[in-house]
Amino acid sequence: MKIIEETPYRFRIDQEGAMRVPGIVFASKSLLPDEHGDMALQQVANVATLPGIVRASYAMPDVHWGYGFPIGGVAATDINADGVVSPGGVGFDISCGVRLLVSDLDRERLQPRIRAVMDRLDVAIPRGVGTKGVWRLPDRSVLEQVLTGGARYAVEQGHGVARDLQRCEDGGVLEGADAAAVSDRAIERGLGQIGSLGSGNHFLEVQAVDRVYDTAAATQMGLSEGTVCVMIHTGSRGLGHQICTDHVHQMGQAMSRYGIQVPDRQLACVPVRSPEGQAYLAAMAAAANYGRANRQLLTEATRRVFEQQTGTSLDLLYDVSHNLAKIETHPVDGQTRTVCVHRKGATRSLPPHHPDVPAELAAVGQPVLIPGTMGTASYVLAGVPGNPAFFSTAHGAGRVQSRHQAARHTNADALSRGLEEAGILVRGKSRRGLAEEKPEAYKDIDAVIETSHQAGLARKVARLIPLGVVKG
Amino acid sequence: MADNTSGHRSVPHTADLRIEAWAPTREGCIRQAVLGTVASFLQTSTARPTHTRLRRLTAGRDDDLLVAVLEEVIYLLDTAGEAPVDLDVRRVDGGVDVNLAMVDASTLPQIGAVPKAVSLNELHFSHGHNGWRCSVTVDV
Repeated sequence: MKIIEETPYRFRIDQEGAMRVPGIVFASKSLLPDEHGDMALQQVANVATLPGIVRASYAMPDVHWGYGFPIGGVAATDINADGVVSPGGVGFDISCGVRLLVSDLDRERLQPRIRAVMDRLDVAIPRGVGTKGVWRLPDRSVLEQVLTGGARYAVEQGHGVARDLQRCEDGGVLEGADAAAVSDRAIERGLGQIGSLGSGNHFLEVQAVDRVYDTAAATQMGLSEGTVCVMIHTGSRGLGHQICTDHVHQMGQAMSRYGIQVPDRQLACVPVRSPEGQAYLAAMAAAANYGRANRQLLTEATRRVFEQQTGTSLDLLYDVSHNLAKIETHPVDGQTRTVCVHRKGATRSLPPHHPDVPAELAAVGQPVLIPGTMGTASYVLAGVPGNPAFFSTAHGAGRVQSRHQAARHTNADALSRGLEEAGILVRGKSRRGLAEEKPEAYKDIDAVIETSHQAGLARKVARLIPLGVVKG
Repeated sequence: MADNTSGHRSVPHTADLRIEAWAPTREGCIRQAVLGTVASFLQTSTARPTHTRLRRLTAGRDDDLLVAVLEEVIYLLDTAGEAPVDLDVRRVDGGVDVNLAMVDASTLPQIGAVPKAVSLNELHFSHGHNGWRCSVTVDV
């Protein structure tokens, strides 16, 4: 594989073999994945073989080894040129994403209550194995309304306010969802989990703004130094995973009918316009709506704790997915094309005045929410004009160590004590789970953000630091 | 319990959990892969099963059969909140019968991220001179 440095923040993988387009990796030299220990760059090349792919197979600054697609991968396929959709290009956790809630508290005012807030969140936020979500759905018919109505349905049922929806990607509901396209197994997995965090890298953090880079944008977003925020990172739980599983199997069997071969079974794909492609997109949209409603319910639970413990409310800044495929129009080779943009571990990043940016934020662009790791910073960025990767950027720090490696030499109690000494209260369900998520297991978030900024993917608005972490 | 010729271990993978398992027979290897997956997130050493569940899984290929068994374990975990602490795997026409010795997963200490799906990426399940070996990536 030939990797060429085009700029200090952009590398090209030359087109060779079955690749239909080159690979483009937005990374500094230090962030570029190790070619021998991490298969991410080979996966960027594999994605470049997908039928209908246009421009390039892109990798974001946090790219790391996934399965099928790399995590931090972006690929767009021309749906009018037999372009494909691949569930592996979305990932198992469909519409996994981040929302940021902003309080009118500053850090000093929260300090006397922070321990009580974290203790109450520890109880209020369901997570870990075998737990039920905060929203007990009476039967399947209500879940089906969640699948088609998303966060909008949750708000209509009293689990939020109308303004929340103005601050959600797609107004909180992805159109095109069809509950009938969701398997019984997925429905059964989804019934008990709505309003739960899950485990792994999902979290809820109480944070404070540590630094503002763009005062005008930050002010418009309600952020200033010391502002207390809550970041929620979770997705569509078992339901989304089951939908991905179902459709990878179905497409694996259907591919030969379309004459498609892929270098990796997890890259199974079919033309977007095929019946199988349409069925996946309808089920994927249902899972996306589940994910958005899930974050809405966790927001409600968090608001209750803040109101009880601090007497303050929380306003939603924005909610955005980082695992999704969307049909969008973009210029390609001088023509406007309708493409299916896969973002797997990549955040949509719309520029100022884009029609899909909330009206109050039109002048600053879409907020891009990028969580760091437990104990390090998270960032708010904003979209910029001219983003070359179909308006996409990074989604997190990106792992450099496996869970196995991270846990092996880590004492979870010492880790938790160390974080507490640094002013970060940790409420975890699993000691090993904490160890697996230690900060050293990830890339340097500050370097990932700087690369996103320098590569023209998004611009820095504010840096947030954790005060308390709730983890599965 | 595993003897010298059968066992399981987890190996590094930056995305998620990768399990390797080995045994003299195909069915024994599937059993080890299930035990390895459960051991990755639950402390099972003191667990006593409360009941059993019998499932028949079929597939056209050995590797797909392994995936089907692991997916069934994940499905039961999500829908019933139960995990197998041991299992018996028997060959039947076109697949296996799996008799799972279950516990309420919430009664055991959680020691890792909970499995949610099985990836087909770099899925291996084959028979060689030393019996059967598999490696499988589990999304958590």
